[in-house]
Amino acid sequence: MVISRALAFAAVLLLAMMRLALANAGRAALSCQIDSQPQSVTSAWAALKRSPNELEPQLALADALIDQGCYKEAVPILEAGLAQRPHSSELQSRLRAARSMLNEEHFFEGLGNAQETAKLQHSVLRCTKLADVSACDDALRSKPDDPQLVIAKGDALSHGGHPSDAILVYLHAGSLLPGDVGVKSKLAVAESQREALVSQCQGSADVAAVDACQAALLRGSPDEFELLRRKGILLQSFGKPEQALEAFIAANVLKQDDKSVSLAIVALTDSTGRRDALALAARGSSLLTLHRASEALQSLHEAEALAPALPKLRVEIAQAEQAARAESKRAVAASANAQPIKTQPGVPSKPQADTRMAASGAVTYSNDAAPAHTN
Amino acid sequence: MKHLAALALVLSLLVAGGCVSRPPTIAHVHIGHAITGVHVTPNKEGYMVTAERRGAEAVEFSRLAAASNDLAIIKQNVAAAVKATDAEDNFGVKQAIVMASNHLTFAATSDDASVNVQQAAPIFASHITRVVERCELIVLLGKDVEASSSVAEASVSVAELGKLTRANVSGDDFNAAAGNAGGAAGSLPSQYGLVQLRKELEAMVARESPRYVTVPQWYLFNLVRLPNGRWVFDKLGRGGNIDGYK
Repeated sequence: MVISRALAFAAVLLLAMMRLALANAGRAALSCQIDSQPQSVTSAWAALKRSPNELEPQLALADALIDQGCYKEAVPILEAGLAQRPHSSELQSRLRAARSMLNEEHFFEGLGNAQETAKLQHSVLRCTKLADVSACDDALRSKPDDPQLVIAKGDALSHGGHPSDAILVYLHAGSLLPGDVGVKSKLAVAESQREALVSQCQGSADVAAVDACQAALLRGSPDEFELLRRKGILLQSFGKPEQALEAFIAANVLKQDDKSVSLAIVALTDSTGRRDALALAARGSSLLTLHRASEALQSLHEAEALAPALPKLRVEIAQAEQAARAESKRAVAASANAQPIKTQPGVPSKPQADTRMAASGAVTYSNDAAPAHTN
Repeated sequence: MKHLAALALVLSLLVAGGCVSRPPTIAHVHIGHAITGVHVTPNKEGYMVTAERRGAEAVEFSRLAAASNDLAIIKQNVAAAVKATDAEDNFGVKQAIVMASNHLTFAATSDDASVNVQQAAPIFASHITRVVERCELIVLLGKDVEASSSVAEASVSVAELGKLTRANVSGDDFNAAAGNAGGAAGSLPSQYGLVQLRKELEAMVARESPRYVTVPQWYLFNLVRLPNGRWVFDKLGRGGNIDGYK
C-alpha cells in the first residue's frame, strides 16, 4: 500500500514536472511536424481517400495525427466524421481529446511565458526602484521604446553619477514624449549636474578630476574635445601614460589640428611603445599636424599594413604623400638656393670638402652625427 | 415476522432514499481532486486547498520579513515565503495551482465530462497564468533578498514580495498601481488571485448538471488510468493512480 502510494505520488510529480518542462520547452517535443509526416499518417490519409465515408479510416487518420501531436489537423477530420455519425462515441471522445490538447498548448505557452514575463517585471522593478542600470538595459531589450522605462534608466544613470549618459537617455525619452514637462525638468537637472563635473574636471588636478572629466563626457557636445584633452593631461601628470594616450587619441579623432595633443601623442607612442594600428594611425596623423610628413607617412603605412580598413587612413596617407612631396621640393629648393654661395678662391665649399674627404676614404658619416675623422 | 417486515421496510426506505449511492462520474472525481482531496498532497487536501493554504503561509512569512530589522531573520522569512510559493517537493502555490488546473483538464477530457466542464477547464487554465507569473517573480525577488547585504537593500524587494504574496491570494489591480483609474482588485483575469480562481471553480461546479456533490474519499483516492487511457476505480482500493496519470 505504502509502495503503491509512493509510486503514485512519484507518478503525479513526474507528470507535473514533465508538464512544466514541456511548458518551458515551448512544447517543442510534441509539436506537429506537418512537413515530415511519418508513414502511418500518409498511409492513413491514403486509406481515408479510398473510403472517405468509413469510420475506421477516419479514426485511424485521427489517431495517427494525434500521435504526431497534430491536434489542429486532427480536429477537422473528426468533425467531418461526426457530421456523418453524430452519435459515434469514438469520434466524440477523440474530438474532445484533440480540442483539449489544443487548449492545453495555449495553457503551456502561457506557463512558459510566465517565467519570461516575471523576468521582465523583475528587471523593471530593479530599474525603477533600485536604480539598477543593467536591469534597465535588460528591460529595455524587451521594451525599447517604453517611455517610463527610458525615463527610469535616465534616473538610474543620474542617480549613479552619470549625468552625461542620463542626458542622452532623457533626450530619447523626450522624443518619445514630446513636450513632457517631467522629462524636461529631469534633463535640466542632469545638465546642471554635468556642468558641475565639467568645472571640477577643468578646475581641479586630483584623481577625482579625472573621474569628473570622464563622467562629464558627452558625445557630440562642444566641450568633448577639451574634456578628453584635459583628461589626457591629468592622466599623464599622474604617471598613467597608457590611459593618457587613450584620451589623447580619442581627442585627436575629434580634432586633428591641435598641436598640444599631437605632441602628446607622438611623445606617448614613443614612451609607451604602442605599435597597434590605432596608435600608429594617431601618431601618423599627429606627425602630419606637426609638419613631419615623411615620418607621418611611415607611421600611416605601418597602420595600414595592420588594419587597412581603418577610417580616414587612406585620406591621411594621400595628404601625407602630398605633404612629403612638398617637403621634398622645399628641401631641393633650399638646396638649390644654397648653391650660389660665393667661396673664397682656393677654399672649397663644405660639400666639396666632404666629397673630397669621402673620395680619400679617410672620412665616414653617420646620418646625424658630426663627421668623424680617422687617419 | 414482525421484525422481518420492519427490516424490509427500512431497507426499501434506504434504497428509495438513495442510501445505495452511485459512483461519481470520472470528471467529478477529477474536480474533487482539485477542490476536495487527493492522496498525494501533504494533508491529502485538494490542490486548490493546498494552493490557498500555501498562499496564506507565504503572506504570513513575508509579513514577518517586513516587520523585522534583522537581516538574518528577514532572509529566513523570505526563504520560507519563497518555499511556500514554489516548492517542487512540497507543493508550493505554483505547483498546487498548476495541478488543480491539470486535474480540471483531466476532468474535461473524461468521457463523462459535461459541456460545462469541457468549456470551463481551458478558461481556468488560462486564468491561473497571473498567479504563476507572480510565483516566478517572488522567486526572483527572494534571490535579491538573499544577496542583500543590508536591511535597507533588502527592504525594497521585501516590500514588493509582500505585495505579490498578498496579490496571489486576493488579486491585484494593475491599473491602480500604474496610476490609472483602477477597478476592484482581481476584477480582470490578468489580476486574479486564488480568491478569484476559487470563485471561478465554484461557479463551474454550481453549473454542473447532474449536480456536483462532494466526492467521497474512497473515489478520490482510488481513481486509476488504464493503459488504454480510460479512467476507472481500483476496486481493490490500492490508493489510486497506480499506473500514473498519462
